[in-house]
Amino acid sequence: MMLGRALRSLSSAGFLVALATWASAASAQYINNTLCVQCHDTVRENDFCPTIPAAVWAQDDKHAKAFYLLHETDPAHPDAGAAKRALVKQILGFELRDAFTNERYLQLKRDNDAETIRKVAAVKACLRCHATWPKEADQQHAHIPPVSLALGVSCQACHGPGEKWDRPHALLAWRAVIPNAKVALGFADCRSPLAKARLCASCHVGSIADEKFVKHEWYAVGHPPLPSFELASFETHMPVHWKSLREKGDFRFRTAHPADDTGDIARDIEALKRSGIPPEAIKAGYVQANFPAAIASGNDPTADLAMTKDTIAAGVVIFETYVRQIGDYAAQAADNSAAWPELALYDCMACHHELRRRLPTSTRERRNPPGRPPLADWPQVLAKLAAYQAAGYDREEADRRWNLIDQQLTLFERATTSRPFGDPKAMRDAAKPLADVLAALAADVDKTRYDRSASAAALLVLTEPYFLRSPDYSSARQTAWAITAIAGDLQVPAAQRFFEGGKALSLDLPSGPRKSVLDNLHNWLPAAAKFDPQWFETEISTVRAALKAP
Amino acid sequence: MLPAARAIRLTAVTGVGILFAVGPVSAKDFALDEPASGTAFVGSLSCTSVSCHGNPPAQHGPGSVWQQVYARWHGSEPKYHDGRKGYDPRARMERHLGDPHALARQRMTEPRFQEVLRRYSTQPDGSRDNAAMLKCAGCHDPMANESPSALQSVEHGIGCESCHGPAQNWLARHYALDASRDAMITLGMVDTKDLLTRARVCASCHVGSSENDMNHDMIAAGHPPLRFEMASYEALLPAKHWDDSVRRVRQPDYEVELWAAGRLASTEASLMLLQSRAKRAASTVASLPAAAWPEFAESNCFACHQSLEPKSDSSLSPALVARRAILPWRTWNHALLDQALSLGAANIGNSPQRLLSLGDLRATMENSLVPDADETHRLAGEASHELHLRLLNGQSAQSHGSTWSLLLSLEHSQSATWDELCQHLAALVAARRALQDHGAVSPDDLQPISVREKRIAAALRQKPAEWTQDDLRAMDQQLQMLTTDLLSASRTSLPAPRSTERVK
Repeated sequence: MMLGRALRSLSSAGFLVALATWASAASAQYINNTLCVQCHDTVRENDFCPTIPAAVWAQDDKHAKAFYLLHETDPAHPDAGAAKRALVKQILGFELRDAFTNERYLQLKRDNDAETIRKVAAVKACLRCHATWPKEADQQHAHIPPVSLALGVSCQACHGPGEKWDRPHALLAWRAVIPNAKVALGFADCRSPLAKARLCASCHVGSIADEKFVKHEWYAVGHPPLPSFELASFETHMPVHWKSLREKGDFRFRTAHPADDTGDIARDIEALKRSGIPPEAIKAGYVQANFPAAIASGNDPTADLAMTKDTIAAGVVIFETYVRQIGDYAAQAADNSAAWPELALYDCMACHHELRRRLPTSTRERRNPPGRPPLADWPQVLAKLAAYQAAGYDREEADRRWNLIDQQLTLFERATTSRPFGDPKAMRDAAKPLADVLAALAADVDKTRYDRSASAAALLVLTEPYFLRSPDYSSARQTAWAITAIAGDLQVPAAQRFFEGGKALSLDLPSGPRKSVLDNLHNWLPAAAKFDPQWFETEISTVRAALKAP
Repeated sequence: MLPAARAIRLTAVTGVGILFAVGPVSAKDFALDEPASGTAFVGSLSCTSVSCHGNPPAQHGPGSVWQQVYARWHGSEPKYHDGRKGYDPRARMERHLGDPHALARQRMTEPRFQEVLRRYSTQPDGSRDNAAMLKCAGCHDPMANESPSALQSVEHGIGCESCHGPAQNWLARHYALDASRDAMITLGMVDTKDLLTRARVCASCHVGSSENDMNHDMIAAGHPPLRFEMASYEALLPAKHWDDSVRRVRQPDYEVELWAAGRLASTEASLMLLQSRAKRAASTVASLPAAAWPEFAESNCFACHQSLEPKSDSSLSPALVARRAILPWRTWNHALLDQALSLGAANIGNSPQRLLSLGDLRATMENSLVPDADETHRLAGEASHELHLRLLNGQSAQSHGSTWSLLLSLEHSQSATWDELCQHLAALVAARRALQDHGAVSPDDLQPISVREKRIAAALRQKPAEWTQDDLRAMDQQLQMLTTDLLSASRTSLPAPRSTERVK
């Protein structure tokens, strides 16, 4: 999965290197998770990684509990599962364990009757996001998961199947290997905000290509609604188990061969070559391997402010993911291989809103007929900010860049609202050019600099009165998350108090394994229902004033 | 002129007020029939001479209601509420006296209306679309579509001839001593004394027609959804310009008959509207302007417009349990149709029979999120044809003792949607008014009944989008109790239904 995504991102960015002689990642195997944990769970001196990422993941990260959400098998809580099982039964229409051979949930049934096949397919669709079982792994892992389900979304779900890179990535010289060569071994380029955002968005927004899609039928019977997704804020709440390049500081092999080398590096390089890394893929240092363009232009990406970069680069990737998801679904519907309409594709709040007796004083300006389910607005917001970042915060240039996107967006919106639920063929055809122009913007913002002045400029754009007129709740929250994240990079002290301390928009996420997404619905859904765009406009101007204060 | 009034004028020559009484109109296409030629509007001012319908209102001098028609309709000058005109898009025109229909034209100038029109128009420059405004005028100022110059006058609105028919041919005759009802109908006057005819005139806008199609696009732009109920609407008119007191003494079931006429006309209009919507959406008809399909205004509002906040299991609708996303067909317009039909059936000695094709139509409408437009067109045509035949066969709502029949039939009826609950309450209120006209309820009995009525009405207004199945069932029980109260209050004094006798 991550390889496919990473490859796609690379090819769309236009620098896919021919890796024909290298091993095909499709055959890459998953390794036992304990192999990861035995290093990453222990306190070890390391100048590159935070010492205990696996411990952070195991103790504080919800992803580790993703499968327990479906069926409580946590030995520490044997009785807590009844409610979860009931909800999953309601969503699926059958017991989760009906698809498994036994109550230990170790493997799916292999029976060939239609009923079993249907149940197994439905459960697998859940496991794409609730465990480590990407579509790409199906070839070798049709019924037995590649990684124990109980581990939830574990290391290799994001970092890629480890068989081929497990050993080499522990070598010091691995730092000087170009990302494409690592990708060819199955190692996902999570260092790149674009690749990372595509990974996260494939579940948190959805991806038809990866079979990660929550259909409305599931929402309607109890799957919690996916909230709008802002990468930097979600990472912070996750919490992160890595250091940004800026935080890593001056690590060994950063830009040059380590001075203290006692001959180990040469052995490393030989080992890398034996693993399938071609010699030309090993550079002088980490920076040269990862940021060749930056070296030429004099930028220093290792000094980039990580939250700002993730917010903006992921912002545009998330919009692209949203558009591709709709386009891919519409393409299936156009071929009659998927049911149409699929209500989960549209803005939830278009239907699920309070029916007002009085006309609201301000409303989102729509360019399309009212009364027909439109696209969600929130994925656009940070892509628009990305246009400013790509334009160096020159408003005219940013407008020009955004207008290019907006032309495609207008066509896509028209295809979606030309009739109720839209025309799937027209939506399919309009989605691709829009997604492509967004991918180009993503590649462009990835190359830009994220220094303090960029963060400050981004905050000013986000708080401009013209940036977001009469937003809906999710767009406002997306903006507020971005402001909070970017202000974090600048260590703005007042940021704690913005948006009534985040309460009015329910900015807090249920981080940690003990806080429940279901419980948090009681916070953010009422906040969405009560949301007043005029309040937000006032609040934004307060934030702007605070940011401008010395 | 309102299209229904047109159709009624066309057919009223037979005196029965049935849409298909004349002309070679096929059942499938009746919704799109042509207006008759040869009659013309003369304008409301022709009716308002002081010696005719233009006497000053009662507080300024003596006169019968028929002499004060214009004053009662016109009322006082409107004032703006909820904001200043020209400044606040919420500003709304209101007045305490007069018929709201008189304001319909002026309402088109209020900022709220213009804002809804702007949102509906979706012009790139934010302007208002002229074609859309003419569509609005179909109901808000029917004269505007007849003569463009009438748009200049704020006086028209929904004026005399909008409901009573174009007066050119009957204006000079209708006050003659020897002018018979049938003769006037022949000349194009709409027989509004006939309750079904009257209800059809109202339903042509308040439910809609192929020409006056107030759809979900307009609702989303800000137009209130249409929720018509004849008896309550008439009761709510602040200054009715007709006097029904004598009729109510002679015909104490009047309120129930009005209710039943409203139900029949609403069903009829909604079926024809659905038929025209489906026809325009159907693949086989290319010459008509395309309609939005599915038309969300045909569905239960609260099927989609519900809070996302988690609810208990019991709130899951049967559709969700069946794991199929469907848009339940809206029941507002045909709720209690069986009861309305059975009142007439008793009159001609038939046992009440359901409208058979309605079930097939519902099944088609709810078969998918995008119902088959051709099939919907066919079935809506069949259903309205079946209803027409029933009405042609003399199945009228007017029968002595219909209040009693209605209450008995409501005793065991179940309402499953909020729409049906509202209609159920409206039916009981109409029955209560009829019981009062019968003199069948003592003031002691009336008091608790009114309290329960008000409590139910207040509860029905409380966030219907958030009602669970349990809430709906509980409300249904409340309505059953109200029915029981009404029956026990009137059981001793009401006559048993006399199926063959008809009160003129």
